[in-house]
Amino acid sequence: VTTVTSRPAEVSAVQAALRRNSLGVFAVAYSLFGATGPLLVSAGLITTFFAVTGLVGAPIFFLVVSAVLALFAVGYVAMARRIQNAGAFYAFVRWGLGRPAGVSAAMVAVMAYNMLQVALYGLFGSLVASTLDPYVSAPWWAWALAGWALVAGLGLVAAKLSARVLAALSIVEIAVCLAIGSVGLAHPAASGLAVGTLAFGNLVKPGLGAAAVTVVLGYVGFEGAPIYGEEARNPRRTVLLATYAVLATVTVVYVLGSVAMVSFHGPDQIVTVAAGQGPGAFFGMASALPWLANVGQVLLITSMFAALLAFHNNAGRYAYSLGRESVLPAVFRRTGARTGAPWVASLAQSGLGLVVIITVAVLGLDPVVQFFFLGGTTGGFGILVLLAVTSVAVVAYFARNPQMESAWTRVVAPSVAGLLLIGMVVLAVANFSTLLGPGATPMLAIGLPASFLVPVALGLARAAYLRARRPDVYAVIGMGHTAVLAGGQR
Amino acid sequence: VTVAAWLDLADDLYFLVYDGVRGNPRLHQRAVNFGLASALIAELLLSGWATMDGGCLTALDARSRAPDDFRTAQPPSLHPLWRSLVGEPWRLPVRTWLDAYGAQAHTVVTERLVAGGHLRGRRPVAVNMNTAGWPVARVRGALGRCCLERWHDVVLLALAEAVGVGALLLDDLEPAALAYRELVLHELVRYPHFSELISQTAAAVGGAVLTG
Repeated sequence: VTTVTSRPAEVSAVQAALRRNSLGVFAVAYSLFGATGPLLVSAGLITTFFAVTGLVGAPIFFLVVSAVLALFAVGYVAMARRIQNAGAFYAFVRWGLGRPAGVSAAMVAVMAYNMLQVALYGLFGSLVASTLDPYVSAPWWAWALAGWALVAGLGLVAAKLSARVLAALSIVEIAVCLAIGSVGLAHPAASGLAVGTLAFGNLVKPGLGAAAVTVVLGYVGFEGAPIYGEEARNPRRTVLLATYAVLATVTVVYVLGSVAMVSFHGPDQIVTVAAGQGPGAFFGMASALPWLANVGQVLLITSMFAALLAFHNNAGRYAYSLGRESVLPAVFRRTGARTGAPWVASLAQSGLGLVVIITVAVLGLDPVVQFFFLGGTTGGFGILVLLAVTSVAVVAYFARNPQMESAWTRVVAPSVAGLLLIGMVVLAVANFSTLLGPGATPMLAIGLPASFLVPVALGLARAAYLRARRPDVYAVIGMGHTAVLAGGQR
Repeated sequence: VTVAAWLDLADDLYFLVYDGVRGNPRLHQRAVNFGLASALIAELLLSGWATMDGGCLTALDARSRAPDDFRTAQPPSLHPLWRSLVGEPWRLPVRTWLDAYGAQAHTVVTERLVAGGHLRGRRPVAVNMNTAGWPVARVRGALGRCCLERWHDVVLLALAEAVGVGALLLDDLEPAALAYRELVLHELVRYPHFSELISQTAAAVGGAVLTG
């Protein structure tokens, strides 16, 4: 056996091809903007924050939560470089805290992402119905079903194209948010610019936990960067910088928008205005420029649609990842041959959405208060729990695998982030009735957060079953695609 | 079947992932590219002109170890991937090769088939339907007889499964043939080079699902 040697080329074909194919910071960040829905958060979530919590300190909450998530991202992205299945919380939990915890995290994630996605149909239907009412009169559920049909179709055939279009729209949304926010800041109420909303004192108020969950909801989608790790130009830097670019950009948009709203309406009026007008409290800042407000209201619909599609794809990919490892039934790993889309997972998600929309419509429930608020805030709570558990998993993983990482990356940043996130979970549980807003009852305030114990128990039971009956599958949990020939796939 | 009827592995895979009559792909483009790049790598591994060392693809003259059906008198310089491999200053993981070489693999395999008189036209279609249909017919027949004898077809089957075309072309086989297919794929774990290559190919295709 003779080793073949040759003189190295100056720029190899592989290096050139990789450079051509790889994604830079902007490309990865661009892919994430569509999932964050900046206008939906500015007009829908921030006004909800004011109305539900009764607090005016949204800007400082966004700054603090973005700092916590930036700390979280340090260990999260570092660990994503080392494990397969990056981008899926359950894989991090499996490698940090073991297989049973990983399977439970998987079930929690499936429930949380599905709740977020399905609940958004309520807000979508309601807002489209009210926006288009002067032109077309139709009940909320008809618009929700129209949105559902479009999402279901795009989820099956053209995920990449639609994601690109919606990401482009989200860049326009950011520009519109900044423009409307600037107009609001330029026309403050008699009380002047609300710089006091940036004071730390605003954090120590009743309803703190509810406020934290609402704000975390505004960042859902930022966690997706690691799935682009294998295509990133520089695996160590690109994903981290893209994550920070998304966090920083949307934080600027949210802080500017929330300070502007408080400044424009006045600290003593913003809660009342937000409760009465909803997104109108945001678009009202552009009353001097009606065309800008009109553009914003149209973009709000596309923003909601972008979030619906992004959450649909997230939920589908999660189910696909789990099906591929046989944690969920293997049928979920089926993909469309021509499209590459995980069609079974997509259909299952769409089926769930259809059943829930029809059920809510038949029962005559309020699409915003009893559908969107309950489902959205509960799903957001689930994501917050996953973030906290993932932080703990990152610390545990690096305690066993510390190679080549600094103490800041493997211990300090994830530990501080984990403690703060756990604190937010505890406060959220304590404040859950506030979080649910007008639809709250004591039973719901206890029952909804406690409902996540069901997927936890199911996960533990599934892990025990796999360990006893299918040890080959159990062995490869969390190994992602590299488990193909290891037995769990077939 | 004469020896001359056997196409190279990547050429065979081409006729699995493309409908030879219409020239339409049966899979999405990234899966096709990953599969063809992987098949070119497998050709070098099988013919003894490359090996895997710690998950990295390495040029090597180990022809004496090659299976009988892959022993070739042709110089490796005729292989499109080999020149890139020896021109590379560092040993690179096989996944890096798949990511970097996918699009080029598609071009070189298509050109090879055109040059060999197996494809024609701007949107290439098969010149001879029997040639285009032979790889899948051969694999299906061998699975049906529970007798997959050639390494060429074992790796072809594994690649087809990894990129997802196996489910389209082979899932309607008799239960005994399907069970035999499972056995063959499971046995491949005993050959770490091919197991690694197939796993990484499936990982690349699965990654494409997640990134959209």
